[in-house]
Amino acid sequence: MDFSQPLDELTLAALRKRCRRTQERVYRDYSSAAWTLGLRLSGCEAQAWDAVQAGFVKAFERISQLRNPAAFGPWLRRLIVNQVMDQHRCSLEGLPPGFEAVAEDSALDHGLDLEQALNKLEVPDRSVLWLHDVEGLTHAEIADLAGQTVSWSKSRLSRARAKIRKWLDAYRPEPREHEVITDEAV
Amino acid sequence: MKPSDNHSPIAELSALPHASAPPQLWAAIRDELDTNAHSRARSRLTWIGSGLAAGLALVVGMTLFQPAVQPAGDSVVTTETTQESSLPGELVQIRRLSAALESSLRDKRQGAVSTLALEELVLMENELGWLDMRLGSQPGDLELWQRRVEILGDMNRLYSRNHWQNQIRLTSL
Repeated sequence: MDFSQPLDELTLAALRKRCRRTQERVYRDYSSAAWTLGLRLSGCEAQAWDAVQAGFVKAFERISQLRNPAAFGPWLRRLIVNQVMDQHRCSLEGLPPGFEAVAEDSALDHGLDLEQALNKLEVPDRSVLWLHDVEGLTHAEIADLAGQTVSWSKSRLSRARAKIRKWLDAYRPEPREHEVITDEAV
Repeated sequence: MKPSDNHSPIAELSALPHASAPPQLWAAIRDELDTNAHSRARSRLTWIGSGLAAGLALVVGMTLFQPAVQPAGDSVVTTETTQESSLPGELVQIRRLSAALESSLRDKRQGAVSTLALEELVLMENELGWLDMRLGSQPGDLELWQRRVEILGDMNRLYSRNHWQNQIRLTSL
């Protein structure tokens, strides 16, 4: 199940009554989407664990704030993204400005596959790329989630795509001579 | 999902496999929910304990000023009052407080309420109904009684505030 799948009214009512069995069922339904999101955004299992755990706990404890059962998935996604963003902000506290960019720009001298390239991006770039290109969020929604502007989201996306392309191009093996000839013949 | 970049290989991002959550993650979430619930219950108990004296004063006051009023609608309370002597003191007190609040609420329910307040009241009435159902089978559960007193207190406050706002509106016409 992904985040777009709605809850039904009965399930929402049971969650409001803090029914543990229903909480577990809802967790099972959304756990794969939530874990994938947490892992892709944070790039680290330990941080993904913290973000997903905190996201579900907040969702279940604040369920009375949710009026529309169809909005549960997007709401849970927002909670998890916020957790990852918070972790990232905390990790940067005390570091000099630009530290992250310097560390991230030290590209490897060998190429990467797509997953490695994604993990190599800094958290905001990776988050914007994943939320826009995979989760299907608009720049306005991403900007709202991150507490930034739409142009921030657009520039992050553009930068993330450029970096990924660069790293993946470096990974792609050079075409062998006979393949070039075949291509030219075609 | 809406992959908006059709240029390979970024378009392949959405094809990356979904990961399965670690098997112990649910246990960690459940434990945190339990811990938070216990800590909330403890703080509620503290609040109830310190507020109980004030509540009892209210009960005594209401008994003096409205001796004829009985909590007839509070079925759980009325069926249990005869057995109060065998119950722990804290439970007896909180049930008396619940009865007094319910009695006070009964008068206020006659007044008009705004649409916004009505929505809140319906939710509270639903929770109250659910609590009464639980109390029917667990009449000695102190935590359920505490929640009942909290809801009745909230409803009383909501009705009072609404009544006060209505008066202001009427006088300003």
